Amino acid sequence: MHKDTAADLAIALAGCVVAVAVSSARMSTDGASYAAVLAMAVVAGASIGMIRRGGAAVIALVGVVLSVLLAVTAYLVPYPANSPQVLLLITLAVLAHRGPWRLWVPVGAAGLAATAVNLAEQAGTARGVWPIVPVLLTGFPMLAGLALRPDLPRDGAARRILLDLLLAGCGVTFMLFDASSWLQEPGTGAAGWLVVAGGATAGLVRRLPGPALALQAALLVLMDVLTPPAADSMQVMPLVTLGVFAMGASWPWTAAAYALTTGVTALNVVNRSWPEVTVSRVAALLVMVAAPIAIGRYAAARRSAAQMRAAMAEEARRLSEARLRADRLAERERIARDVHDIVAHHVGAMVLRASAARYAEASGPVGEALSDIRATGHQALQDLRGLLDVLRDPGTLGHLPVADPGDVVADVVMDAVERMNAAGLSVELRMDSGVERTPLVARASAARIVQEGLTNVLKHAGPGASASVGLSVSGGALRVEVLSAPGPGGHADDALTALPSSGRGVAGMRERAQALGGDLFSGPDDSGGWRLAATLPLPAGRSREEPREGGRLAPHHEGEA
Amino acid sequence: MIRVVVADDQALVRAGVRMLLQAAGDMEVCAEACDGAQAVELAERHRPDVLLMDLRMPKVDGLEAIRRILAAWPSARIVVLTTFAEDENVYAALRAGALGFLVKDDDPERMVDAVRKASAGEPLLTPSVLRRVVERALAAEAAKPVVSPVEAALTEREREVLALVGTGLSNAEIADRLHVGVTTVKTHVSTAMDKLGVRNRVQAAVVAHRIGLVDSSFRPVKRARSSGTDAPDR
Repeated sequence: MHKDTAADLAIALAGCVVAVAVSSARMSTDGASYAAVLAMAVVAGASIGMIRRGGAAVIALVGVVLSVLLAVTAYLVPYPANSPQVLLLITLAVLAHRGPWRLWVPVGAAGLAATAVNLAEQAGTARGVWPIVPVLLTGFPMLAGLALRPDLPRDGAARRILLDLLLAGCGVTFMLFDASSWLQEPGTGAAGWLVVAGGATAGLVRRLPGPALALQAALLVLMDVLTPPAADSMQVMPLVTLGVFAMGASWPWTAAAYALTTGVTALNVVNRSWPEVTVSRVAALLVMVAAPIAIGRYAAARRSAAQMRAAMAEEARRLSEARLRADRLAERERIARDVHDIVAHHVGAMVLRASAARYAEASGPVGEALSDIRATGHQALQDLRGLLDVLRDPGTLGHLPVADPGDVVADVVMDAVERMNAAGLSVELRMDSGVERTPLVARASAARIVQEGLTNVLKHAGPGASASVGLSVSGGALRVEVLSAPGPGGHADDALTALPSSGRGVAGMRERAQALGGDLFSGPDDSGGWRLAATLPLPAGRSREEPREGGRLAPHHEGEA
Repeated sequence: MIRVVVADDQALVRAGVRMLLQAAGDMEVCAEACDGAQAVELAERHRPDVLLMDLRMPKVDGLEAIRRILAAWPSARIVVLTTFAEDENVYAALRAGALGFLVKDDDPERMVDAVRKASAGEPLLTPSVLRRVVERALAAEAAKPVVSPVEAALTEREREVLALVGTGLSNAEIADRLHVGVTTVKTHVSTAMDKLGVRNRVQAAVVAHRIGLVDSSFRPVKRARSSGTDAPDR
């Protein structure tokens, strides 16, 4: 609160200072009028202090107050009322930026009127073009405020029109300034309007450079005939427009525009400034008109290069997105394939058992039940085989031995560990006994995760690095952890920068974990190494099979027939 | 009594096979193995008439076990037991010397019949399956050079019989074709196989293809009868 109030006070003070400064230039030494001017300046400046805090309505009010002040003091006080004028313009700009059109249209009109009154009093006799000045004066701040409105869509039609209007305003201002030396003389009313028209064509240049160029050329010729001084001011416009035109036009059109501009310029220039036509002067003319074309082409080339770069970046982004999606799909397919493999394996065994029993003792309802089991199992296998044909990737057949429980994880994991050790990475393995009892699907996924995790470590570890693999069951989930630590020679930084933070492999592993309802974490750990941890939830209750260990459960060894 | 050793990691499968073969009456399961290493050991110890081998087993898988058993005991009769007939490993097992394969959800009668045929040394593969296997084998071994000196040792008759083996015909069909007795055919086949050093029909058929006795559409190649010389065509 404190700061806000202080800011408002500061703005009010600044407003007063500006007001006084602007007024002091023409103040007389008369005490009373001095006080009056001062009072007015203070009032005007103080009202500005409300702009920051006030809503659109407050600002509108301030605008109206200032307009009234301006109009009144213009009549009453014989001094140019500059301070309210400046402050009024600022207020109008802010109002146009923030307020709804219901507010800034009427207030803008009031401000325009007040400005007109003020200038009329100042200017004395109306000079041909002067009505345009209050329009410009109030128009600029308001257009600027409008164009910068946050609620306008970027690149929208409204913003484009506003910018074009601003450009037109700039053009008119430029022309007026350039022509002001001779516009002061009486009787130049009509010429003045021609100058204004010429400046206003600047608003067309962005959208229709071709027609704008033609129009400007025509105006130039007209001015050259009617009011030669105006033509000098106008001379610049076609050159600029030519540059803009050259940015987007084809070579034949550009050549035509070049010819037109050269002709018109020659027409204008040769009469008075250059009474003699020499080769060097012609050459200079040609070069002068060619320059905007060169600039325009260069600008166009730069712009198209930037556009192409942006398009390529977009394409690259889309490509990597597609690749990520494809990887995820591939991983899902692999998961599905493993699941089907496992199921088919068990169903095949069931069918065999049932059909053997049927064959051995094919009698009565039991026999029929066994037949049913056999038929259903056979059908299930057919379906699974069909599905697997679709999912099977010949390259990875036999990769994961879907052997019976107890050894899947151990086999695959120990194989991976051996490979790592052979490659120079020392790996330590911890596997709880409870892991063997978890469902095959969870174990198969864990084994794959360990494989890929260790492969990643090997790929990115520095010399002497080490890894540790941990498999445990706790909290109703199978937990897999692969820790890697950089060797004594490497830094923590090496491990961090070398390992991919989220590469394809990690995405696939995460996919696996999430498919089972779990999750996967991959990131740096506290001691400067890398940690890959996955949680694979297990179904509630005891997980199925009795524990097995290699050879122990072959109940019917030799001797038993 | 046909003596069978069963190797499969699933207890359910072993129990099923045991019940099946016992019910057949003329065969018995004399030992069971639950992994490849045990299978090799039991094969050596018991020298069964037929060995039923699952391919996917822990410790040592079926394919490796087959190779080891055949290395130590070349005349072992091994039949693969599998869930998926299209498994690449099945083809590899056949190329390595297994006599045939059974799918776990086959008819029990077929399975018993297959075991009998295997113990009698009769071919187990239908012509179409044999052709498929041979095609894959040829494709897989395309890079290896053809070994032809062995061919010289074959007699004309043996070569004829070998060519027909390469087309996938059974011994009975070959006997029909050549108008000789089945026993004669069997003798020729086994002599030829011994000479060539192959262990099963699949390998024999592959050789038949590779030395040019059979063309790629599995028809015997007509060769001009040259008197006595067995020089190869190339």
